[in-house]
Amino acid sequence: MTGIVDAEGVTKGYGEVLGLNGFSATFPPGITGLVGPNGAGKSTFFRLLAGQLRVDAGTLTLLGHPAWGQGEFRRRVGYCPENAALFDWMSGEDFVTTLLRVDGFPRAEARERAGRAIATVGLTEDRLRRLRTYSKGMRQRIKLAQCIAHEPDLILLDEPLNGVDPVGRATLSELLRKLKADGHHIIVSSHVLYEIERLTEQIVMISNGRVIAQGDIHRIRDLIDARPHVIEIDCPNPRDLARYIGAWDHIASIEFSGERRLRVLTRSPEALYSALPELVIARGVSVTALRSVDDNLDAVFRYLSEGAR
Amino acid sequence: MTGELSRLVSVASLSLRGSLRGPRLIGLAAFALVPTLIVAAIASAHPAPRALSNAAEGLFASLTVPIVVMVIVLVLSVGQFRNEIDAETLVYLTDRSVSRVVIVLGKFLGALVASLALILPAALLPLAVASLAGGPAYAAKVPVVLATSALLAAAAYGGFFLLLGLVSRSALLIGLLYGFLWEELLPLLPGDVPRLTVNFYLRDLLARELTTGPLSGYPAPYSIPVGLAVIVFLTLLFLAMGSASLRYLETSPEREAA
Amino acid sequence: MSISAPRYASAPTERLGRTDRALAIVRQQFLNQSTGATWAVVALTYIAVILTDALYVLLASFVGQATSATFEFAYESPVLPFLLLIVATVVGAGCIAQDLGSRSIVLFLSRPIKTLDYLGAKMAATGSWILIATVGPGIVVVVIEAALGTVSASVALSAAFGFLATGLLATIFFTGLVVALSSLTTRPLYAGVATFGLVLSLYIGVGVVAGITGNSIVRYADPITNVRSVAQAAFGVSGAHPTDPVASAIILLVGGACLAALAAWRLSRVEVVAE
Repeated sequence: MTGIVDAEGVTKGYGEVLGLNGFSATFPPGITGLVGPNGAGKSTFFRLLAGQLRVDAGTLTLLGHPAWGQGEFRRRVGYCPENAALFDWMSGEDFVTTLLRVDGFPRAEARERAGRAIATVGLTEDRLRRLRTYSKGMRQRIKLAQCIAHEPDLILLDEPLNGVDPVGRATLSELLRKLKADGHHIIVSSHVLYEIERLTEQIVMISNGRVIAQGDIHRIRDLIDARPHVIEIDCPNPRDLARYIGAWDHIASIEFSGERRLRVLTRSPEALYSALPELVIARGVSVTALRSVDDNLDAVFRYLSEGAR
Repeated sequence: MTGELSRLVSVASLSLRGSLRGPRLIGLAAFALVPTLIVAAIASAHPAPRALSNAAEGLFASLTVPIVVMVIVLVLSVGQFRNEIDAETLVYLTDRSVSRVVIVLGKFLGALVASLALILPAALLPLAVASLAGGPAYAAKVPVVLATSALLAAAAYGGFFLLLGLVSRSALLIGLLYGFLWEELLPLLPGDVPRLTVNFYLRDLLARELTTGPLSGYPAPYSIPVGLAVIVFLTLLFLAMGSASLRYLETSPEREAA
Repeated sequence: MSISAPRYASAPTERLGRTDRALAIVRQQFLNQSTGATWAVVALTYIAVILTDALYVLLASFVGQATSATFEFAYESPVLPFLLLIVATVVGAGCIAQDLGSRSIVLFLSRPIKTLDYLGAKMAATGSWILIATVGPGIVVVVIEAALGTVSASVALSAAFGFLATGLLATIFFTGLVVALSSLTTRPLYAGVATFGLVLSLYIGVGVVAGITGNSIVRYADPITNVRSVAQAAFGVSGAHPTDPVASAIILLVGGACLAALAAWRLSRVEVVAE
């Protein structure tokens, strides 16, 4: 395995409860989303990566180094934990600068880097305020600032969008895209699937401590043979269209949902996409809209979770 | 500054600043004034000068070290790791490139300096009050010996409580039992049992150095270098155990969840 | 589509009164405090008091001098006063501090209960544990001695009264003290250490001041001396007491009440809905 992070059979238990259970995944360069419901094991995985916990079984490496332990390689890693706890008595600038000093940066450089990171997350005006006066969104941003200030190669973000308002989420998402464009590798976790979808198409899906799928969202969707794709077609005359479409082999079923809508279940959406325009031209049927209802992360996750139970 | 040294200073500075702030600082500073207030109360009754100066000196061993030093060091040292593990802020240090040994040493130094900022006035101000209130002047070595003993006490107890806060969720109970039972009751027992306490070696040093006065009466079977070596050895031992613990212990609070 | 209010098939549940709500908190707090550490220190107290006091009374009975005053040894020696302090600290240091630190106090005070009910319930639960640790061992000693026939029934009853009266007054004061200190901080560690530090500082400091100045009034500032004076009077120990037992009893009662008032004032300033 040659990913940025490689996990092979990772198991971590808390007494009788298994946080991770034979978790195996390779996280490629770029942005990878770690998605799963609450209690799936996402935070446990991040804590293992951050060196807070040690695996009970299996191996876990990041940037080629074992996850448990200190070392200079940690300078190449930035971690933004899920919890909101900070050194409340410090100012934002003091917080980021101090952590850079702990990382071994000289005072002047630490201050300069802190200023840049704080500007990146848009907290320059509030940098001198005590952290206890920060709102939730500001706390998330200052955590992100300390995470990126030392320009790590790998950024670990555990639920960074938690408690952030929609405007803040959009800003943070844009920031993450920019970080990726600048060459950083990011592993970001969330249970808010549509937010991850906007960031990346590379995902690792986790449920009950296990990987249930990993890779490109669309490819994963294609591989779920047991679930035909659901495609909605808006047209003025659905019965006419249904008569023609129903003859195709890859069509599993057709439903009439509304006066001007067909809901088609197909095992091969590509075949339908290529045949439908020909049908329109040849038969003169009219189609006003076409949408794939379940080619998204939420649907994929639901199908896989139900299968994993 | 070399890399590790500058990181040590950064961790120590963070620890020191975190220790000396807010209502906790006010409470501890007020508590550190207790020996001074007691001497002032005695002085207000205009006792014989020798009685006043002996009381101020004797209070060091009967109150300042066993109670005031113990409370201040317990609060500041146990909290270094225990508070951060519970608040989940320790991750900001452990996920950095700084070694865990440096984290332990840095926190120890920060807590030690913070403790001394409160303990040294607690040890020396009573002598000053007694002198000002008409007690005979102390020999120059008296405040030096008391200050040195306070430093050694803060270092040894600080190392132990730092370790305790790292390895135990019941650090409060164990710290109280150790500080106020083990260190206070064992010296009262006969035979070699008192040698199992740090207090014994502190009193040995005091008796060796202050050959007159209320502190000279403690048993002093060991020479000064030996007594010093024992206390320093214990301090280093606690720090080594703390470093080893932080290297191998998991520091996520959820490890106790099940 | 229209929305209409649901129709209830049964009558709405009648809410229980203040007492029941407060008792719910007492139950929860009592169980919450029932940790391994609590049981360990309570067990230690029982073992230490039973071993020392029972042995002392037994030895006294061999020379034919076991009276109710003999049982007072538990308070005269450092054993019970300091173990009482440890129990109060372990049990009570976090009773309010933990709620403040975790902000779970919001869950209590945003319900239809009064702050005083909350405080009273916390004190009742904490005080119950302290009472178990202070009175319980003494009663066990009395029962043992009575069963062994080393003391008569009347002596046993007098001794039991002594343990009960002293234990009750000590409980009132130390419960008030530890709950007040717990209300002043968000960290149980600080409250526990403050309890210890304060009591021991007074014990040692007052002893030094009184010894040198000859002023015995200052002894009333030391709760342990007050408890000992009350114990001596309750167990019928003859001779001079360090302080006047009646005055000491009043100080313990009033002191406990004042400390409870301090805790009540502190809780009245807690903002329930603030972040």
